[in-house]
Amino acid sequence: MIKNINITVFLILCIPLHAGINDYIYPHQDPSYSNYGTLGLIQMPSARFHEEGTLAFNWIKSEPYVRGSILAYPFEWMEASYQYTDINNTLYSDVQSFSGNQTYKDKGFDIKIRLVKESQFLPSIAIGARDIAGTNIFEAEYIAASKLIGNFDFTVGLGWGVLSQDKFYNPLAYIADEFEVRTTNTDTQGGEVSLGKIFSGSVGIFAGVEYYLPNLYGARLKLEYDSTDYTKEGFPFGRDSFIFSFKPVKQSDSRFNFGIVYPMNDSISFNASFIKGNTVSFGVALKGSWGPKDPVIPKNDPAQRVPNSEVVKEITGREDEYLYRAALLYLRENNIFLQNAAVDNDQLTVAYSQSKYPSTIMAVGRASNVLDEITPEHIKSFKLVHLNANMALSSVTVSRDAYVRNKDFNLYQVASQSIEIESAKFIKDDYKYNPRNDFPRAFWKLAPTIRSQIGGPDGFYFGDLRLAFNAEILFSKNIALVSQLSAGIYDNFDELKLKSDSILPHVRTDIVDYLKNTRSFGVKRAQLNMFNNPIPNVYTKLSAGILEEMFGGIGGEVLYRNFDSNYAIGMELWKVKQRDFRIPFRFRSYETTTGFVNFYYTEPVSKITLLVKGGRFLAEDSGFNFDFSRRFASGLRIGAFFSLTDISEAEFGEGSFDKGFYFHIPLNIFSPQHTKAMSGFGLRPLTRDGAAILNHAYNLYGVTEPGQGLNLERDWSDLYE
Amino acid sequence: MNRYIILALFLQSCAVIQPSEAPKILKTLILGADKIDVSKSFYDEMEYSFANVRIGRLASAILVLSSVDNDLYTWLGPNKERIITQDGKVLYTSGLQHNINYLEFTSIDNYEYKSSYMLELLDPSAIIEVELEYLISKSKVIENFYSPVLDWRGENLYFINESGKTYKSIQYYHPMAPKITIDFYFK
Repeated sequence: MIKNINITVFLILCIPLHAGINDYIYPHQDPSYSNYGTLGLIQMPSARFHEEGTLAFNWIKSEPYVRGSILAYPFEWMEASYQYTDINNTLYSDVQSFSGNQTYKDKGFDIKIRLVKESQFLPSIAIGARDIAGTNIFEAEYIAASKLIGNFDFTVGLGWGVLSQDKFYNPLAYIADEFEVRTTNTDTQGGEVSLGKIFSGSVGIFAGVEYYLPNLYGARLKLEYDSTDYTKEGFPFGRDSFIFSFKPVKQSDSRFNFGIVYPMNDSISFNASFIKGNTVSFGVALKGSWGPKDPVIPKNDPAQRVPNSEVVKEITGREDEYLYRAALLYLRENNIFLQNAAVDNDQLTVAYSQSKYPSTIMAVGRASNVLDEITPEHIKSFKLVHLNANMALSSVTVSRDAYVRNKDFNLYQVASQSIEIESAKFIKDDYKYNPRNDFPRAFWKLAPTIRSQIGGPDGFYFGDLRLAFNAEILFSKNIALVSQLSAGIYDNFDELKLKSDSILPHVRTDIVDYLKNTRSFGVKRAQLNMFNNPIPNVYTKLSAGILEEMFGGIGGEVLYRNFDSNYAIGMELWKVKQRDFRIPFRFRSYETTTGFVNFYYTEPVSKITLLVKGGRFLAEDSGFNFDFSRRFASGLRIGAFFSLTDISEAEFGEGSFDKGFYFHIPLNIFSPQHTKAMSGFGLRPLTRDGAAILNHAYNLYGVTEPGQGLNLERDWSDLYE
Repeated sequence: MNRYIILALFLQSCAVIQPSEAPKILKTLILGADKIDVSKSFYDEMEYSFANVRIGRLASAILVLSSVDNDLYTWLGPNKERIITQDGKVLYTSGLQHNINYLEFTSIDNYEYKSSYMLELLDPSAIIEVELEYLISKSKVIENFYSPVLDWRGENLYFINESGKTYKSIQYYHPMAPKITIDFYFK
């Protein structure tokens, strides 16, 4: 009888997790994190991934390490993460006056790639590598298989490098002798990717299980068999391992680790574990899946209706001038700014600009909605020409009947069949209505802002909260001065002290001086721009002034971008001078000429954009910068970059070469109102002078992006938003 | 907590936020969505009966009464939200982030203080049994609910005016959704 009850209990516990009611019994089923910051068991990795477009941050304290991790999932089969580890048994350097009590900081990247997707019978299988392109003190590679059976998620795997406690013979050595022995390269600046030694040396075996507890909000228990060789990890034996290390790390008393995870909701989870038989660890993880278009906060921003629409139509039908004026007024109420207009037979053409709606198609939909409510019935189509900096980016001709007919049921696919998109050239004389603009016109705003310095050697995070005055003065439709001045409110820069040791011109490594000297007041930018579209598909920009925090000068950019192409070619050339640390409009002696040939290509299926910049960088090194990024339906962009230039690893310094990653997060997904605002976040493991690029505002690729034919085709679902 | 992440992103990005948008976004993040204030003039302007619906902190909308059929009131929202109520209790929703459908129900008048109902949960889909227990006074009905399989329990409130009509309800309608507060305005 007891046996039967046990079987019944076991069967109940083994109810498949992903079916119906179990979504409620085991909510927040997202995979959890290991103490190494990435998805996994406790110390061991797993073959689990978040959905693509997910960003996560993880903080773990596991003596002697305090680790902050930033994770990104550019694809459902790829996990990329940046690890920042404070190693508490080792000083930052042997120079007491420099280190003080500052402990060693280690930075590195981890990557995991799924080979097999989990199915009814097959587990998810992934390979991964820890601490690549870092100092390699946590370096390990692994292959892991994870299978969910009932509410047990089992993982088994093989580990190399630090994960090779068992010292089994490497099966890959049967294929090639190079895998038999793992070599260590001590002649390095760190930051190199050593492809030659991955999956080499002896092998360890690890295994574990994650058990989902029913009706406990997704809480789960973890048990694992640990293959970490703690004699290889970090600085295990104190001074015997490394001259700056002052205390040995507790070695393992047990190879079984235990853990518990408690998800507070889909975004936040807490975890605690008992590892090595002698160490308690705990941490917190935050995540957001921001790839899908669905907003986090529901939108409360419907199109503004035109009151007494029929009366307005009757009036606008009397004379075109009335129609133009009504369009100017009612479009403006929807944040669409009419620049020029013309009625030609049964078509109303409107050239407009807008900075509210995240996609051009959404603006087209809103404009069509307004125009349908104010135009007389003989107008059968609306031709909407999108202007940005007085350059025509696209022309969308909307069949009024098709737009209205499909509106109530949001049949945007049907409506799109009757909408024509094409490239456009703006010629003012083509328009009968050209409302007068009084220049110069000024726009300004006061807003809080944050400057962040993340992952530096002095600490994980330094930042200051500032009040920024952003201003734009339009001298004509295509000439504007953009500026940002800011005053500090609060910062924690006192502990920032790292001085540059670079042997290259200090084009970036004096960052601490710039941050500290502009604590109270700073001018980030005062850049005069002039845009032009001299011939179809060719765009130009001339700029002068204070171009960024560290450089001012003069220069320009030319871009060839065909309306229907998924590639673009551009050139830019800048004569710049380094700015003074403190005085906004004073310059230092260093000046240089920097410029690039830029090639952009967007792969249509994966939506990956490749940018290759070839030319001369700020520190007068020459070479290439490669930038890969992927855009998601929400507008989220996740990207990574690296540069190869003609300076040696020794000249570049720690890190060996420039590399990093960035996210552009659209605030539209968090806002009840539609907005084009983006939050940019970029991170380099180290700020070095090599491969530094001028950060001028409004690059032409970005300015022309909303009007591209492929982007318009992509956004049809926004038509009736 | 999620709110603070968003707030940090917001601060990080202020250089590109339009001035007119910033206060609205900040206000929503910190204080939640604007409460729709139903003033006398607002009430007078509305042609039909309506409900002021607030889900959690971040969503609120006016839903207009579109039909009444056997004490079942159907309310329609501006973004194709649809809610059916009976005596103020939400029996069916569509167009919300999480939706429900009561498969069996009775009206509050017929309650014998304890009942159990089958409730279809949508997004994700499941069917559960819900036990309901009522405490009824002249001005208020307290509905204690419990789902054994989900170990989901809570208390719903229905406020009744002198003519016996529910004018306000505060309910947990879906285990993954925040509470829903509805003020009913009948014409």
